[in-house]
Amino acid sequence: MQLEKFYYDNKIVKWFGYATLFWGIVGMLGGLYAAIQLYAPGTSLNLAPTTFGRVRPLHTNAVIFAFVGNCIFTGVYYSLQRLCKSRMYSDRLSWLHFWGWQGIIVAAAITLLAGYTTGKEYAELEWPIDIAITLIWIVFGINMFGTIIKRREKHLYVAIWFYIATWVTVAMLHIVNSFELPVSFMKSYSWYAGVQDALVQWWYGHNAVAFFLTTPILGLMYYFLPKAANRPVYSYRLSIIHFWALIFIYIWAGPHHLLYTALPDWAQSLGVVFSIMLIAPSWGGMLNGLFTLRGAWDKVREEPVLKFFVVAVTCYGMATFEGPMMSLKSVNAISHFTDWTIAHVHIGGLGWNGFMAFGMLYYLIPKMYGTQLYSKKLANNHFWLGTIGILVYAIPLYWAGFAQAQMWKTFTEEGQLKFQFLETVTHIIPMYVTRSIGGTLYIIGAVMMVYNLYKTVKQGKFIANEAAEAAPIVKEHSPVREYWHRWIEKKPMTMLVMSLIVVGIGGALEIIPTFLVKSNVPTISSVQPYTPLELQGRDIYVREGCYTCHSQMIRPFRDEVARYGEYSKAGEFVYDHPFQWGSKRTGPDLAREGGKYPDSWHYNHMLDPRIMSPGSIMPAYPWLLDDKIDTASTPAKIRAMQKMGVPYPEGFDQQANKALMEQAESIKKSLKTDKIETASNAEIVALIAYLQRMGKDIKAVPKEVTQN
Amino acid sequence: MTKRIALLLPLLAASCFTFAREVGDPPKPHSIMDPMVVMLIVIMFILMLIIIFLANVLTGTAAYFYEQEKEKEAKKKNENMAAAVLSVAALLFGAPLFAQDAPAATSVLSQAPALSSTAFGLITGVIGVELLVIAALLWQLRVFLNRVKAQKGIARKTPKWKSIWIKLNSFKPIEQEKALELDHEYDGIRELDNRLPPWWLYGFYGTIIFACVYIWRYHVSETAPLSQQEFAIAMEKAEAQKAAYLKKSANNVDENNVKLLTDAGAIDAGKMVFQQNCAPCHGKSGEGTVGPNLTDDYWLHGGSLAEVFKSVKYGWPEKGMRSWKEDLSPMQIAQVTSFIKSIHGSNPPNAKEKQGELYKEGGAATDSTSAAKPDSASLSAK
Repeated sequence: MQLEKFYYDNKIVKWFGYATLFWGIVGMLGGLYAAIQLYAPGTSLNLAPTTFGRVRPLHTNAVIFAFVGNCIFTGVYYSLQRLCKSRMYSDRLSWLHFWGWQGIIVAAAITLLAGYTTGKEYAELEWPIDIAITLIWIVFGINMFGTIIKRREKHLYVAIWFYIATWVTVAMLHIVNSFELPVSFMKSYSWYAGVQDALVQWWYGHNAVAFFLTTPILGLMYYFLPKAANRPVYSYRLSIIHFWALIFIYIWAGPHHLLYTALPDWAQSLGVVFSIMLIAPSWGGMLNGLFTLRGAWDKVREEPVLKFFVVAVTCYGMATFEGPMMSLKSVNAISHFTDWTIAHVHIGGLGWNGFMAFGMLYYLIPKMYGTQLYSKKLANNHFWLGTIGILVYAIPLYWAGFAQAQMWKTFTEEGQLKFQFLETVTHIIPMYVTRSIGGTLYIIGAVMMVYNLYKTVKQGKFIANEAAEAAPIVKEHSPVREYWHRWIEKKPMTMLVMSLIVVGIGGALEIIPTFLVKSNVPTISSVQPYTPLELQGRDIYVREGCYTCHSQMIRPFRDEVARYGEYSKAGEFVYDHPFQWGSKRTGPDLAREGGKYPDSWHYNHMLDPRIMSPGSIMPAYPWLLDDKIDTASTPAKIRAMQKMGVPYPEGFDQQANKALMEQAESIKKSLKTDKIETASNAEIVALIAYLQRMGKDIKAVPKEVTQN
Repeated sequence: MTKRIALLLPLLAASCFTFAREVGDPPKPHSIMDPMVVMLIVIMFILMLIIIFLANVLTGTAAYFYEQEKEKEAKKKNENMAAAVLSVAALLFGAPLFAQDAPAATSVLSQAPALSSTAFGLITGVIGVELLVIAALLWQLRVFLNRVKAQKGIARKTPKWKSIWIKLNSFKPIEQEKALELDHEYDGIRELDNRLPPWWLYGFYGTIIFACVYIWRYHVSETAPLSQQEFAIAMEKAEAQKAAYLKKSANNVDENNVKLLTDAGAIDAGKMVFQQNCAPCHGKSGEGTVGPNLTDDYWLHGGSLAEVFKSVKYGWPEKGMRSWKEDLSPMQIAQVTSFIKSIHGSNPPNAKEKQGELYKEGGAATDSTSAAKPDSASLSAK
């Protein structure tokens, strides 16, 4: 057979690699900045773009989609070519993909800081960027499948199975979750509302973890770990079972983010049991990774690349065991809304994703530059600094989460809550400080890596096009019966469709009934649509990222009912496009904030939270006092809501601003009685209107019952 | 070896110190029995036992080696060995320390089931230190075991845990790896066809069974509470706790705030207490035997409700009346006091002669049983 000569494209890999480094540092610094704001609220500089509510989404988006995203593309572009024995399908598509993705990241960073957000965690980007993501993702898909199709290797290696499943599932998740109705350029409302929005969002959010932070990285592990260790993969059978089990089961587990919420019980239970069943498939990946190192542990002691991989895979194992445990309702009752969750995701983020990326880069860059790593010692120091950084980061946060949850739940013997919310926050501030120190160590390690790789690049010579040769595939019918799975490994398109079916099942079976079966969201007749002013106020709430610290979901627990009021009901959220339940309670729950404090309290509190509650760690929002409500957008917003079924009367869009001004005047008046002068069209007025509305509708229920 | 001791000693010191603090400032007891805390304490205790056990084993081993060394190499004392014995001695010293601390620490903790975060931190700290001590002990033991093997000339065999590990994973020896290799490779990556690790596989089955049972219990047999039922249960429990506390706080009476109890239940309870505790000295009907008559108008130490309460509570030891505050709860004292007030003027047979001073119930007095008034009037008329 004639051998064909071809060249691997290393240049695209190199650029994705550099982008990984760059965005990694940027994203981590963003995280550090957000972490410092938690104990030094003054560091928000009293500026809108630098408040926690905007920096935190920037951090999460940067590390997930920019750092890990570029890391995935680096690894995929490198390994896919070699596993398929083929150059990437099209250089042009490769570069379109690269620049498109970087453009999206830059756009995301600017718009998030400017306050353009959909208010849905990890999917904050507004609709034009969502469309751009879809297009670039398709470019990536075409390029990937093009390469697979023109491959010179008959069967697809396990890493490629993971890439395929990743591609198809992320596409599905992104498209379904991003259904939104544009109101204007850069403003849209989620198509779904309340409970349904929550279910779709966490189906997405959870599986963003699964199919963006897990499956592609597992694919990378399957390539780079055996390569670096020069050991055969431990078990082919294990690969098969854990791959299919993982992608099938993962998709169901989303509702474990919504335990004890207003989500129907059956969906919560599915979230619990599928999370538990997920342990073994997840661990399959860890075991296959670690057992591959059997007989190579002496190498691990010397080779920093393998050290990073070992800790990464171990962190993966820990996080994927802890995750299911946190999905048990009794544990979740303690862990949810606390820093426990933050610690958990950072074991995954810093340990698994970060260390896999570091290990991979330490392996790739010298290879592509035909040289050795500049300093193994420095890499070893990076390894230890990173590992200690993870510990110093995570342990205090576990402590903080546990301690705060206990404090929330403690009653005095007389049956009173023992601690004010603020006391539980000030109690854990030392832990916040320690955590930021751990983060700093981790970042210092990453900077050391950048230096090390820079020196490596300097001493090497880049091999832009790496020569290789292989024979083309010849169509032949093998007379021997193959192992059943070998068949599908020859058929990438079948694999794609199968993956889609397998991941589609769980999502469909959970989401469709929640939308169609009425009993899942019992109607509460007293729940009314927001007034135009409240709607504008809600948009400000979303814009400022209040949901990053305040939940709007009172769980049916004694302490929460005592602290916040009647627990939240599904029917209360039917007009919430998007839902704002939140996932973290750095500040208290706001689901029943309405009427708890006078208007003037909110005014002063937004001006400087420490006036009203000394010791508060909330940033100040002075610009809300000066900025004016964008009343020009009111009619379009009302029309959009009407389109999504919110029952405003016909033609209300034209009267909306009149109603808005009336309500604003009344709030202005109420502020005046407390000697506060404000313009009636200041944003603070709209925000007060929204805050004073929250959770009040349901209180009208008993009245209605007696009237009937 | 000396390094090792240097490591060990502060470790021991630290562990003792932790215990000392634990005993020194007991966490304030509050709220419910937390299963988490119970678990932690149990773990702490079990680890303690393990430490004691290991320390004993190690002491024995060390003693054995010490004898042997003395016999064989009495002249050239191995520095290494001395160090080992020294560290063992340190442990020996440590073990009884632990033994002493153990009950103290646990008893303090058992009084305070739910913990403040500091106490929680201390316990986890103790557990951490215990784990370190265990690791150090095991390591030390291994050193000895290797010595035994070296002496007996046995090559190091696969240790027990390792063979269990191999079995659990059904590992094939690496030398036989070639047989497992599949006939393909991708960019130089070969694949083996090892069996699925059995524990993993059965664990997977286990989680599937768990899932079925879970769904069955919550949604088919409905024997496990869903969120809202759980909430109802929690609220009920909280109510009960509150009620219990209120009862206890009603219990929390003293001579300053005691009020006359008039309901039949309280009087009956008081009567019971009287019959069991007071009757031997004051007579079955309070007519007085050794002690004074309690039904007439004359009182040695005051006849108001508060004064009687005080007499029962603290007693008049010099006159033979003992203090009852350790035997009777404040509520019981209030009940028996009220009972005594209720038999005032009942003129029981064999009544003892009057003692002390005449006491008349004041206008604002709490004692105003309608039956007592005419009786006392008739008595004074006598």
